[in-house]
Amino acid sequence: MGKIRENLWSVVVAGIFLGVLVAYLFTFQVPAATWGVVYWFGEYKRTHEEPGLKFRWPTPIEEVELLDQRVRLFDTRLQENLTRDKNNLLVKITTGWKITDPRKFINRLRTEVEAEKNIRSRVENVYNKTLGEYYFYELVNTDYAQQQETFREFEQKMRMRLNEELQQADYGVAVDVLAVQQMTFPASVSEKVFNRMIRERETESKAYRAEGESEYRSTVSEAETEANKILAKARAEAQIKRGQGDAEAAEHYKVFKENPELANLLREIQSLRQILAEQRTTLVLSTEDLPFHLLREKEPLGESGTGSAAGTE
Amino acid sequence: MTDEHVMDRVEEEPTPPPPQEQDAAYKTLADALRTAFLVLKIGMALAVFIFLLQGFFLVSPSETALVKRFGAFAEDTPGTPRIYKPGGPYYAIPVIDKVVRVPMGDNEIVMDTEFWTAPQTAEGVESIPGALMPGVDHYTISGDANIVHTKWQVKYKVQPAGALGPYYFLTTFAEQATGEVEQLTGRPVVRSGPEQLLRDLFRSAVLRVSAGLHIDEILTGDPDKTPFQDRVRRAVQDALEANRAGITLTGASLIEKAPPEVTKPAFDEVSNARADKQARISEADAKARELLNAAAADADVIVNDAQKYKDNVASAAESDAENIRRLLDRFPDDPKGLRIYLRQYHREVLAEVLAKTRHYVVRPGETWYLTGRTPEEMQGKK
Repeated sequence: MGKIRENLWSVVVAGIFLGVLVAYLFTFQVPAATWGVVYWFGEYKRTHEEPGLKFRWPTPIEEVELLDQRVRLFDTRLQENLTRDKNNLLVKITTGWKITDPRKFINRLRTEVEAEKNIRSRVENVYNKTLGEYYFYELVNTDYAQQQETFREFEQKMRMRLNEELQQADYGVAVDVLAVQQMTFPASVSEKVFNRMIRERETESKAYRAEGESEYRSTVSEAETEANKILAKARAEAQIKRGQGDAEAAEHYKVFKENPELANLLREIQSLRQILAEQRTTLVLSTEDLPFHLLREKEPLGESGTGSAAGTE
Repeated sequence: MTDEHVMDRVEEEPTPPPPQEQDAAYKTLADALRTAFLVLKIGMALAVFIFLLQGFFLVSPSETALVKRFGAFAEDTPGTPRIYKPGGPYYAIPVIDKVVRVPMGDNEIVMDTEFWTAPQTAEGVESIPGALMPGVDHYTISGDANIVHTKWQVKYKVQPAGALGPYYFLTTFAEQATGEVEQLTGRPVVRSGPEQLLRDLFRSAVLRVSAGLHIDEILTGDPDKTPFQDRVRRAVQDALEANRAGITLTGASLIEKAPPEVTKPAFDEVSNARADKQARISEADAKARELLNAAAADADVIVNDAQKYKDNVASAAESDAENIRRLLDRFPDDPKGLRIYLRQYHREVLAEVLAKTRHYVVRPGETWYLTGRTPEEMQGKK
């Protein structure tokens, strides 16, 4: 005891090193989201699901294998198949799988590569079978709500069938994610689709232009009708006004009846003034007319001296 | 050899130092060793202390951290992992604990080939002119069975610590090898599981949503309906939440969209036709306005002319009537006086008119003078 006390530090250090060695030999860590599978002399013994520090016997008594609990993703190849209405489609599917039972997984599949190979072939089989139950127009159409529901149902059906097959095969794996990530036509079909798209667009262009022309004719025709109505209304109004003017004039012209000859004379004089108001008029007058009789060679006043001459008085 | 020789030999060996000298040497050695061990102990203690100091760590503003102890995440309460928010200093026991950092900033993915034609046909793939090669050229099918190309920019980030985003980010989906290699280090490029899931779900969402929309809704949009990219964004976010991948979509922008190259002229023609239709409608409106304005102006003229006629006729009649009335009132019972007045008035008007006109006064029978020819000449012509 005394000697131990004297060499306490050495004992402690030695104890630490021994502890580390024991820990290394007799324990192992199971990381989060990982299965810790323990083999006893190569035979499956147990599985640790919870992460942390676990006990084991040193190698070769017990060996440990770590398996990822997380989901792994892979894509299938682009696969061609027919819909129910015989439309060719090439589809690529994303699949996410995970280990659900490590013991079964190890017994039946052993490695992730083998697991992926098996699941991939089953995905392709399930896809082939399921696609043949749907019409092309069920998966692709412009009724958005209905189309989305059908497409989701298509993917869910494939996933459900796939998980049933995997369960029956007792692989100890399950598919968590299954989604169609690529859907295309064969090359020859895409060419036909282009031609149809071009024809549809040509029809659409013609329709737009025809609509524009029709709209033009309709609008102009309506405007012409409306214009005619406006003019007709104006003419009617003008007719009324002229009539009112004439009626008003007629009222004033009643006074003409008191002396029609005077009224005519005044109107004639006024007309003369208006007609001959332009300076371009040329008149040819006779010396017989008043007062031009004064221009004759005869004595203007005549024999009587009264100045009477040919012409009116 | 006899014992005496042995004894002689023994007697000849050097004699050991006396006991007192032996103790001093041992003491010196022991002291030296003691000192050495002391220094060693201090050194080891110091090394252990410095080693333990390595356990302190900080978390930068753009990340969070989790601590694994013997592989298991440290927990606040059973089932709830402890997530270290930006700041610190925090402590993790060296060797036993391992700090795992999770970047929380925005990440951007540009998806510019997933739904687009390849720049050139891949080697070994026989191309068909005017056709798209499956597996090489990519696109989506619209709800009316047309083909459309799109390019996207996607942004995501890890969900906040409150939603255990960093924990799910690390524990739900396994990393994926991309098949590419880092140029500098030569190491294979590995993508996080959640990001790979996002890429796959995004492709799936674009494909599925496209298959439910008319191509015009994808290319030009419909103001009465939810935009194409909003539908995709919603579909992806729903799928991410259902898979509990620990990430959230922060942005999904449709950066380019186009019909197949060979159909583009036809689509452009539709745009032109649409523009032509609008132009024709505008022309019609302008023409209609022109017709109506002209009709309105003509109508005004017609009505105004009629109004002028009415005013003039009534006014002239009134004036004439007024003149007559005035004359009749001035010469009520004097027809001779009225006649004289009128003759004078007639001459005044004549003078006024002659002043404004060119006039010739000729004797009766001498109008031939104005023609410049004699009557005989005029008769000769006949």
